[in-house]
Amino acid sequence: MTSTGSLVAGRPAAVREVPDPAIEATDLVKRYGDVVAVDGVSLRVPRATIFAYLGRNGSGKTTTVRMLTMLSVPSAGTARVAGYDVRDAARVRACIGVTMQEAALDPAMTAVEHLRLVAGLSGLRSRQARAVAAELLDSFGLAEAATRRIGTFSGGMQRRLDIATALIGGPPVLFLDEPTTGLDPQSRRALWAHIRTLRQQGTTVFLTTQYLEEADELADRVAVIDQGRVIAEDTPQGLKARFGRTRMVLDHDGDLDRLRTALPGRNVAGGGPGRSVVLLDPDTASGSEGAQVLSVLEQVRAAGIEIGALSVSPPSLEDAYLRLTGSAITTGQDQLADPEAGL
Amino acid sequence: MRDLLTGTLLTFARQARQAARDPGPFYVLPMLPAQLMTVVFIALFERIATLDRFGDTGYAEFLVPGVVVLVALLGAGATSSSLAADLRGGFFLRLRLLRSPIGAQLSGRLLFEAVRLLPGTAVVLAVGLAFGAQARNGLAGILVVMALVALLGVAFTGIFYAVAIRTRDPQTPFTLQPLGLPLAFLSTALVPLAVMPQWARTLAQLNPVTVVVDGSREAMLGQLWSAELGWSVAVLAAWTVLGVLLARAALARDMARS
Repeated sequence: MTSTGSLVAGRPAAVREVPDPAIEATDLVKRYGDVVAVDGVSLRVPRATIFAYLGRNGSGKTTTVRMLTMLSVPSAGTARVAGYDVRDAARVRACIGVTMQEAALDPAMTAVEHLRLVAGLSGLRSRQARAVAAELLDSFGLAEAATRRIGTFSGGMQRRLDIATALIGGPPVLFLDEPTTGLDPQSRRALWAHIRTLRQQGTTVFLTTQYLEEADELADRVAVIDQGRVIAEDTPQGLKARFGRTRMVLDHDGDLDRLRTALPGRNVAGGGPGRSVVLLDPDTASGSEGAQVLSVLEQVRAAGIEIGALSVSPPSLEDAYLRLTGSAITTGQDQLADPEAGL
Repeated sequence: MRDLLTGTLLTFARQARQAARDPGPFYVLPMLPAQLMTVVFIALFERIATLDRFGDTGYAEFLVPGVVVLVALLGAGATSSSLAADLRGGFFLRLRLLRSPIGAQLSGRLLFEAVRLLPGTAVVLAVGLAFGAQARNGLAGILVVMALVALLGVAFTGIFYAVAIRTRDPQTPFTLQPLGLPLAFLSTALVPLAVMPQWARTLAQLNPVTVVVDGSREAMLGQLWSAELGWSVAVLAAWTVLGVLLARAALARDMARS
């Protein structure tokens, strides 16, 4: 992907400004028969920010997006997007761009045909549609593949085209449902750069993800959803501070049981052969983190355990997520070990 | 209204591009059964016209304005395939999010259904004329018959859309193709009511295709603007409305389930 100055292709002046918050949901509920997919979600997404909606598969992320984009009618609750009630479909449609979890493309069309069709159906006139299609193909590094059928594209190319499609009309509010799933690390980082550019240009981005690193890197605020409920919402730093723990990783000559005996009252887990992880207590009553590190080292030395190497990691979003939900997200790419599993 | 019109034309153009890349199912297949029957039936059953109950016309004259409706009955609904594929592949979700009314996805395809049947209809009529059919109202009569076939294709396609939306199966045109056989054979497309057994005559009289065939036959062999033609247009309009309502209901149900 190449970077461009403008990604707000074809944005009409009338929809540039949206009220703050750009997205507001109150007690949203979605039931499918007896199954409650979303159970009373309330959110406020400030204008021109990136809001990450973090949760594992089946937690209710996509269902929330579908309700906020009028693809699904809420069973209860209300929501406003860009200042309009989501039941006012025509007005909301004019203000949003959406990518779904699966790329929404017709494999039989070429990329340029696809973009021109969507631009036309979005209300752009033919000449404008052609210009927007060319700009987006260029922006997303697809210009050379413009006349190839989408069915011949790689997964990453299809994802890029799908996101380019969502930008037609320059929507001030963008919903990206797991946009980087299936992308290689390079493409993922390039897409992050695009999303940051969009925020700088005033776009509000609602991003669902199951990648902790993605939420940490991109988001201004993060909401953690689990079993249909938002269980925490804060800045990434706030979540880490509230729910994360500093880790000490020790390479030592003793076994895990000896270390646990030497550190009564501390959370100690195995981290591989000859390696252990000690989670520091976030409660300041236990002393500052520096004081706790020194205390641990003194207790270990007093027990006669030799330390070969030591590293200290600040709290991560991963730690915070684990403490909030009690289990790891398993995506195949960000498979997280639970440091407290052995505690 | 402007958005619906623009959406209809863009959807029509998308279908036309798809058909240009794969013309077989859209242009060639619809005319093959009617073409085959025109040649074979005239050769095999020409003497049926000597029956007392048959009437004054020769069999080729009688057959061609009737058999030509098989272009629609056995060739309609090809665009339901892309509708099902859009729903199955998720592209339809994207289309639902756009400014253009979702009804344009149906109207654009229906318009293309009408247009794509015209070449096959023209070929069947041309071959029929070469084999002894008559066009007593000249080109005007032929154009009226072509219009009736196109409208029949539109009317018949509604049920294809309803099923394609329900099943999301791109094979829907092939699955439903046999539906056209009883509609064709239990009508006056191939033989007059007078030579049918009583049970078949009863069914043929209830069959809306009989009304369309009577209008077609009248346009080629009798008066160009006849009561039969008026009835044909009325029946096709009602059939189209019913088909579109069925498709819209299937679509509304599909959207409500999400």
